[in-house]
Amino acid sequence: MSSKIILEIKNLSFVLNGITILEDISFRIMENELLSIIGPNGGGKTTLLKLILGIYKPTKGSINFLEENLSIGYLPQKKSEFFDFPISIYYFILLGRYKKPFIDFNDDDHKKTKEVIQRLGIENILKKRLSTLSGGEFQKVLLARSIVRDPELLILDEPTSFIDVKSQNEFYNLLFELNEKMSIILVTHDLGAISTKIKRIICLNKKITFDGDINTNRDFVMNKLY
Amino acid sequence: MILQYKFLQLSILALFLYSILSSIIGSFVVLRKMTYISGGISHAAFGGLGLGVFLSLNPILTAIPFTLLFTSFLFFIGKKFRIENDSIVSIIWSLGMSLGIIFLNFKKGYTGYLLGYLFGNVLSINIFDISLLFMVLVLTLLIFFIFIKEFLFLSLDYEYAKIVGINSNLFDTIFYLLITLGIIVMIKISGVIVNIIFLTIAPLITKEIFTNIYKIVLFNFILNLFFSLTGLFISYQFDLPTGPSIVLVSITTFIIFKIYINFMKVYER
Repeated sequence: MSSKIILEIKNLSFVLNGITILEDISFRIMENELLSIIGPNGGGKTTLLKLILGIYKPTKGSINFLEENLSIGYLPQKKSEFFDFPISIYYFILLGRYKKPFIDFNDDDHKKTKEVIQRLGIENILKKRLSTLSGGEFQKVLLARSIVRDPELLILDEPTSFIDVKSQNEFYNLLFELNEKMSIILVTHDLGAISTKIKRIICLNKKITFDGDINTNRDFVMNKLY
Repeated sequence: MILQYKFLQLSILALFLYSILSSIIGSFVVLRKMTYISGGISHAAFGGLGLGVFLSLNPILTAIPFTLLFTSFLFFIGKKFRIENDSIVSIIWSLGMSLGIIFLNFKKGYTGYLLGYLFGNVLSINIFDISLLFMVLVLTLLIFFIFIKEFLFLSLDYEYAKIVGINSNLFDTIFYLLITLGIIVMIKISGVIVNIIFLTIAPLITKEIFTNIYKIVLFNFILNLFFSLTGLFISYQFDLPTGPSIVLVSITTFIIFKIYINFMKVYER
């Protein structure tokens, strides 16, 4: 892991309709680091992601990226049924390469899309409809869309919620491979779903209650979490 | 030969243009799950049409600014007082309709307009209506096909579209302006009630068959043209009102399609 800071969050607070959702959050993520944020439901994990993604604006504090236009990939927490939409899986992934109005997808965009499809081994599902994909297949399609733009930071919100244990292991192996090229923030509410290969975790329950290596003291983390 | 009548030639031309326009607007209305809002806009437009009749101005030209101002104002109030969108649409729906009827009531002898604007009257189309329809169609075609990626992305995954940098406020405004304009210029042909069916039925069928937006739009056009011409033929042959005949044809087709799809699913198992 390099010592280059990709993202720095300082004294971040977020209040919505008079309720404090996040309070005084500070942490950094380095280049090629894999950080997992865990916490109970309602602990502010998804809100924190939405603040990083720019969907919400902080009430206090700051979120600074290494570069002004840092490329971010995002895998939302959604089931395939949500996308009962008439679009081919190929085009769904290609849309992840969107740049701006008036600029159409070029040869590079198509080349990259095909490359990602091959890498994730999803060529055989391209003819299916999105809404009919299994949990594991759909997570791979969402992952493909989020990495097709070659992000420097990949953010995943509960990516293993809807998939079985075998697919979870497969999914984690893919993430570790991707981590060689990008920083990753992985959010989950289930400590059991986190691979033992992940070292740094942040426990979030409105405030940060733990930030460090989970393997040093798993019981301590469990106490901090719940 | 019935086509020798000029009013029928104009009606068929209007239905042709109408089918193209409704196929584009309807695709996105259904994909964005906005059929209820489009119904609200149609009924708000009825208020504007009534105002036009009351002020002795061209009702279509009065309906455009009236609908835009009326719906924007109510959505603003909804946002300000945190009223859910579906409740606001219900208010727009009934208030627009009520205002239209009150305006028409003030103008003695104009209540006959009511049925015309509810179910449309394609046989009363004139050159001005066709020109307006054509202009709105060209504008819609241009904007939708230039920004097809943006409209598709926002319909598919609104949040992710914003994350990748699509200006959702700008495209929502353009979308809202286009569907409002489209709905208003289509009202004289199909009326408030039939408009909703026209925007909904064809996309509900094609979105189950295709995964390509251009094919969806093309086959919506073919279906809408089939619905309208068959409806027109039935109304002419049996001396029935055109709008309700079109509604019956389209809904019957939809029911047959759904039965066929369900039968195929059971058969494939």
